Amino acid sequence: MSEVVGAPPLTPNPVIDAGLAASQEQAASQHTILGFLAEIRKFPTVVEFGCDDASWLHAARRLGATEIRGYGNQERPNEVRGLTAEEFFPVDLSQIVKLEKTFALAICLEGARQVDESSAGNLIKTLCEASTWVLFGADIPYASGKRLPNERWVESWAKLFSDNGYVCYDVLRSRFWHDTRVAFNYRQGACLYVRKGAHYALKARGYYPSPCPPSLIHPEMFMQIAGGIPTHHDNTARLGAFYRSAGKSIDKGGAGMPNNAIPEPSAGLKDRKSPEEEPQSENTAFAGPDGDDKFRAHPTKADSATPVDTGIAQDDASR
Amino acid sequence: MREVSGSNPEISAGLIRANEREPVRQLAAERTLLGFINGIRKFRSVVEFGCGLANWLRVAQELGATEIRGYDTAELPLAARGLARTEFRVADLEQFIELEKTFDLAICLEIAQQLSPRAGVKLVKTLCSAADWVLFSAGIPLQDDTGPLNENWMEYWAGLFTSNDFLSYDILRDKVWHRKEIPFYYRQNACLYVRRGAHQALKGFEPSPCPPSMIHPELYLKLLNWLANRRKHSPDWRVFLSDCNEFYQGAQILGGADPVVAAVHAKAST
Repeated sequence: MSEVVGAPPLTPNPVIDAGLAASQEQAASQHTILGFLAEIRKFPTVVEFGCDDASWLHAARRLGATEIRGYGNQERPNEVRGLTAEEFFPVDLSQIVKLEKTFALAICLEGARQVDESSAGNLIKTLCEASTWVLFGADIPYASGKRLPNERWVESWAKLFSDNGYVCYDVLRSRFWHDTRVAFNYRQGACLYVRKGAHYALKARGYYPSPCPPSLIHPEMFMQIAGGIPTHHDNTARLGAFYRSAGKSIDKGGAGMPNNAIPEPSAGLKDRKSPEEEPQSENTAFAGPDGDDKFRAHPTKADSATPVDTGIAQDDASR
Repeated sequence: MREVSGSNPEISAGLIRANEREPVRQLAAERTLLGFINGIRKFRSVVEFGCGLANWLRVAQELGATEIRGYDTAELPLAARGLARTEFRVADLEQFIELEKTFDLAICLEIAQQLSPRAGVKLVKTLCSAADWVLFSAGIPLQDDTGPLNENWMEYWAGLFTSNDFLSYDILRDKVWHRKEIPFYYRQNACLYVRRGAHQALKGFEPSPCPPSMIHPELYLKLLNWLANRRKHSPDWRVFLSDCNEFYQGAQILGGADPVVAAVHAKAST
């Protein structure tokens, strides 16, 4: 990384903000995820770091939390958060924040955007000192459209937690991957980190830690980025729509996509794009650095332009 | 890899070049995935549809399969595939293929997206009648640059297998997600489908009601890179490789790329 941009306060994130705005079930994300966690272990006290609009805290309160507290920057007025002066404290999250007590659950799903690259360790330390259970999620690289230095892969965050003696329980992503009530950025990136020794409630339910939680990209995010490919757009929209509707029925053991929803074949990138607009065909766009085949599973027609008579009997004839 | 001496010198030369450059990558996918499946249940007979260069079949042989058979179009000469005459059949994968016997394992990888949607349904039927265990993967939307006909999500293919009364065992991807010597499309799309009733050997593994489509960071970075450099008409491979390296390095520290290290971490953390 050549240059470190200073801590961007509430970086506008078109992908994620659009995702949040589009789903009217914004609070449903919070309610669904926290409801699931509350079933595993009750959390009477909850602290959130980088609380944007405190929607996580309000959802926690609705689920029975008696004490909620938010820390974050003062970008937004207090009224937006709906918290009292005893419940919200403006802080700089790039410094370690010491609390006078520990909470049953710490939440940080927007906070990572408020710290710069070099302070990521401090943020995780703050979280780990605040609670033995941490619900954490952050933007993956390029989530904002640019490569911001404070965007990291899940593996990299997991390493920072591991340095503090926390292990990842990757129980949320698989559970909610198809659940459209939850905004896709949470389905893609929200993980539970638990201090070693504080995992009995999870163990009792048969959950195991993931030593190296993988970075996964959700199809909804992928489709949103791909929306920028004009030639592919119709099919992209159809496949995106299929994906959004798929989860509800499929996880219940349905037979998958109904027949009438099978997308028509797309003409493909190559066929549709007019050569004047894009002189070089995409055929080379995804090939390896010097045109090697390592990204391709099988030789394509272009590789063996001349059909070779192999003299091999057809399937029927050989029997 | 067996030496390729086909009548298509370009392909042979390309393969030899690729192998010289990246020896580690050689058959890593084949050996890892088939080795894992073979460890759960030994396979004696293996059939592959769309077998290409037949690497999967030859690795299956290496692992103890006594009978292998490949089906594909006649595009490549038999010598390039390294198969005997009896081990290969020319077939039109757009049609349902009826076999005279069943095999222990059927393989069909990264082929289905190149067929028409109707053929996709027939292909899954072919696979399900060819074996009780099917190792399957298909390219997801925007993965291929070759003008895919039937790019679809994993949920779609799982649905087709479900309607043939097969269970989805999504047990391969998390084993290999960080192994960069394996092409990312196998890591991202491979899934084991097993006929209901033929899954006794998979005790200890849970079938997924619906294996989710998850996009690998490598594909994500590639798409972003392509979009960012669209006007220049060439991707910036330096940026792509450094982005990829950053991802894999992060994974390596935690042992994600190495199953042995990962197991040690797992043990230490419980």
